[in-house]
Amino acid sequence: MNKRPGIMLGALWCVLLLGAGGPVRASDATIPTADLGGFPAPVQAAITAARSSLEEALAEPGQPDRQALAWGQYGDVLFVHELLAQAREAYARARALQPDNQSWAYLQALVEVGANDPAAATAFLDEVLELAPDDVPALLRRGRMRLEAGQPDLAARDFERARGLAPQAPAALAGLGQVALAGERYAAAAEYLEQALALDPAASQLHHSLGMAYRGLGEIERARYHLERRGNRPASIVDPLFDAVRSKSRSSQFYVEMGLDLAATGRLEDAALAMQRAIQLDPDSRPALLNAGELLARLGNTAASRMVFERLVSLDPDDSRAWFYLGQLDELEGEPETALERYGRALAADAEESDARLALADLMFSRGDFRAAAVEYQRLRDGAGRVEEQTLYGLLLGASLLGAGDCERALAAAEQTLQTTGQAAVELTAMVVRLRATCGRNEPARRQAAVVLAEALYQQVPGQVSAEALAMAYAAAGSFDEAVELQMQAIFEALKSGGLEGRPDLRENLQRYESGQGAAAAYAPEHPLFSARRLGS
Amino acid sequence: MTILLGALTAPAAAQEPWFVDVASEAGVDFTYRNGMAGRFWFPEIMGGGVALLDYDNDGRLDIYLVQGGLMPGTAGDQKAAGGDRLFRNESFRDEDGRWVPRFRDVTRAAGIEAHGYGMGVATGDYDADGFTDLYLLNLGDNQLWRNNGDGTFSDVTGTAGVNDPGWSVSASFADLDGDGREELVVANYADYTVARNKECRSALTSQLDYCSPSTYAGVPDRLFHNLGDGRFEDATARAGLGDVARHGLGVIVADLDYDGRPDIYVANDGDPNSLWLNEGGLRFRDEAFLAGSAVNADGMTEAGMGVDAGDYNRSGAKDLFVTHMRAETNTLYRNEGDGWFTDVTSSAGLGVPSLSYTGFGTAWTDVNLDGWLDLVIGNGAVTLERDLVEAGSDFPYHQRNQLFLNEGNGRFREASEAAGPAFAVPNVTRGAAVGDLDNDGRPDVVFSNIEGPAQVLMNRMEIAGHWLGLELVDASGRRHATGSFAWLLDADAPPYLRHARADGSYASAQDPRLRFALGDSAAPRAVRVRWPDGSDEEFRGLAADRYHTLTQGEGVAVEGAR
Repeated sequence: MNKRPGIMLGALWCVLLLGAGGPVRASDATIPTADLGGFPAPVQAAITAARSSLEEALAEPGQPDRQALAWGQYGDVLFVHELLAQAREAYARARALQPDNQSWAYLQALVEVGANDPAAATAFLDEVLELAPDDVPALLRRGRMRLEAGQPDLAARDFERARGLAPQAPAALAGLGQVALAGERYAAAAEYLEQALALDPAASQLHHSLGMAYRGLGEIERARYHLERRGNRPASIVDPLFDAVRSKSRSSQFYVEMGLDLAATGRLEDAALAMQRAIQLDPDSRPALLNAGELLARLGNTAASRMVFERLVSLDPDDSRAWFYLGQLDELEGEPETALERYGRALAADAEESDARLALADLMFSRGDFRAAAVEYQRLRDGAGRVEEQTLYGLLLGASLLGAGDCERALAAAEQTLQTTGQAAVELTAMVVRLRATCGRNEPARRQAAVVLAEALYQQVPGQVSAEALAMAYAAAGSFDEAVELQMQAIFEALKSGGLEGRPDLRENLQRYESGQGAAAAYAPEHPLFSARRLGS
Repeated sequence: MTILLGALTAPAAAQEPWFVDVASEAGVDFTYRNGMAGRFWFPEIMGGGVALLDYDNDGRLDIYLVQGGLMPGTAGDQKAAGGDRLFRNESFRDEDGRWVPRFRDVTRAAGIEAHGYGMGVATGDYDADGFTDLYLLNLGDNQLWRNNGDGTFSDVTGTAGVNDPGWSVSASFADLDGDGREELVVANYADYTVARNKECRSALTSQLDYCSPSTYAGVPDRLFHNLGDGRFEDATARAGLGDVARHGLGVIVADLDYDGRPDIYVANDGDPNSLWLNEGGLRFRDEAFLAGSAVNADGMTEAGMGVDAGDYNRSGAKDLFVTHMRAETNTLYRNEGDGWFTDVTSSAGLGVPSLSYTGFGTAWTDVNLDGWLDLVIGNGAVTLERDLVEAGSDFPYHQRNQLFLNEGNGRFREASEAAGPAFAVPNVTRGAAVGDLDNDGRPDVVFSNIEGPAQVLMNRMEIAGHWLGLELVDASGRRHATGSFAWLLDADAPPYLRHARADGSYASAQDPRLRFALGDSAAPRAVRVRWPDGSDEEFRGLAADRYHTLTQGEGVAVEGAR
């Protein structure tokens, strides 16, 4: 049930409902006006220009088609800037002049969607479909309206007809899936929704419905898989008329939203162009500048990206986000010292700018400044809200302390994180095992605790990470035969995954275990925890 | 005995409003002041709540209204707004038997000095002494006021250890570990301080406006474990709640998966809602997504504000209703009986009529005593209402409130117009509490409005049928046994249950008593009660048209679940 049928107008304001319901006479020449105070200058200019064109058209009687077009164009600029009452009236005037042109009724319907009046929208869509029964966008939108109004059977008719006309329309299949779901026909729902998602993989909203369908089928793991991938993007509707109207927006925010939509579907260059348009309309728009800078960086245009972020910090020297991105650019361009300074500026402006703190810590870590990195990772871990973040930061904290040569503190930090998160994160648990197996001397109780934890981990998540940890624990406890067997398995897993090449420590440890020695250290320098700049990100 | 409930509802002729605002005549003179000064500080648009409680155990519900005032950290006299107010119910029946509403401001006599920037209020009896205590939720330090039993309260926040210095909105007292003592669950909203206030503007017109919650990070909710000696311990991390930082607003505690343990449901603003399933030992697991109650049917995260749980379709399972922002629908999650929910908003007819409103306080209550739970909704925008801006309003966020009647077939119909002018007058409503202020069996409603007078709406519907009221009390004979439920034994299917609870809505606390519609028979009735420990007892010979106090252990013990 789509409650926001894809009319992306941003904030939907309730406006005075002018002229609703009654017929409109083409000869009534009063032009609806709006208080444009507060609108950005480009918006005011666009509306004023459209109004002037309309006045010119109205000054020449006997040209109904021209006048209809002028009314419609005036309606378009009002509509895209959410002056819905005035847009409603303008489209009604256009329609009165061209009653057989279904476009006006369709735009009237879209206005009513924006005004949160699905009943009125549906009535207009009925009229569109009387004039043009094969209008696929109208069928799809009416189907959604009917579904929202609790009329799944009627909605199914629209979606079926749309599918007949456009078999590859994901919104038709998605609609049929929603109808089936509402009727608790879970197998059919799953089939339709899978098809829709295959046609429109970016339609992340469908994952939720699919999850509910699999829940209904008792397939809980598949349900969870899709629920975790749920997003806010509905199945797309190919709608040239709506797209043409939307392109008349002179609102910077509109283009920011468009850019974000495009970026979400991977169209980065188009997204950057949309942000550029947003900046043209409002050169100081922070969201537009921020997004443009990030997109340009992702497209490899670091020079342009840098210019954008420098403009942001010139507008607001406390823009922590801009400082963070500048630091990222510095790192990309091999300027770590400058990057450190930028991250410092970001954190001075906003101590809770966690991306900047993480980047700062990572940079310190990669430069071997482990003690300083540990301080930052600890702050991140202690301030993290999500378990995944706590786990990652706890792991990095442990690694930093180990890098600083403080095995005992590394063990304490890893154990504390594990206890706090209460979840068996493989890497973190393996770290606790490795540290229990190697920290301190002659610690039989600790070594035994390493074995117990490692066996549980291996049993739960068999694989290279757990096998390596268990091998190390066995060796530390003097069980060398078992250690050799597990280490061989770890090597085999690494071979399978293509990860053996960069891990000479795997063979070195095997040789130590074969000769009755434990591992020399919890981690060798070649281990990804130390060789990669960041782990688990 | 068959109860023909639907046929007996005789909503009065159209000329008589169903609800009449008696606040002024009753002496409830209160306006929630948000301290606005043109800066559009985010918290200005979020408070405050109202509680209905019988603080002096005289059998009449009193009213507690939360006050805002000046934003913390700003210059000025915070006490000037007057602080929270407690209004004692001193209503009476005149010589003609007519109920005369009278409430007296007893705040000072009660010793309550609540001058924080108030958001919400929760009621409970944390020390099980039989007197209802108050927990106040603020922007800044919260307060626990212990009811001393002599008409006064004492601030015991420090000794009890239940402060939360952040921004809290709603809370619920509930026995979560089955030891007979009430824990405290606090819904926290956002990581906000005036010092870190951010300026937000309308995307379209660049006018200053209130921010969206995403401007500020969410924060974890809190769970305080009742140690039984007047103190609580912060069990948030142990319970698992500390792992999730969201924008919590409304909260209810109820056994939603029917495993005998009460669960926690939090309506989050702009984040997925949380359904914390109780795994025992004060450990919880959020299963809202798989349960189908995290987001709407489309998978969209919504702006959850208020929430209430009630069995609207008489399936025996508690359903959830969550209020949302304009352009989103409010959402009805139907409980399929096992704690799995389905969004049935559209088929219930509750979607389209809510699209134009931003809902906050809400409650399930059977306003017309037809045996089916109806919905009361308090509305008020959070972003500028353009038509009101153009009309020159100095606080352009007003919307009217709504009443939906349950038609008994899974569908609702809006009856706001028939409810009367009290529902038609636009306000910026936040708190909503439902209770029977005049003990006539008909639920009344109190709304708290930002920069507008609080409304005390007396239910004046002409209802032909009889009713039965219950107050469920634990074995000590003192504490309300919230979390228990009762059902009429002589009612035909579908099952007719009512649940005892004081939480729900938005930032508010409800009348914990239960009411059953009895139809045209005034004969004494029997009920079975399922107490929070899972035991069942029957109580027979309960006369109609009055409230009865049922104490655990005083009924006839029965075996087996219904």
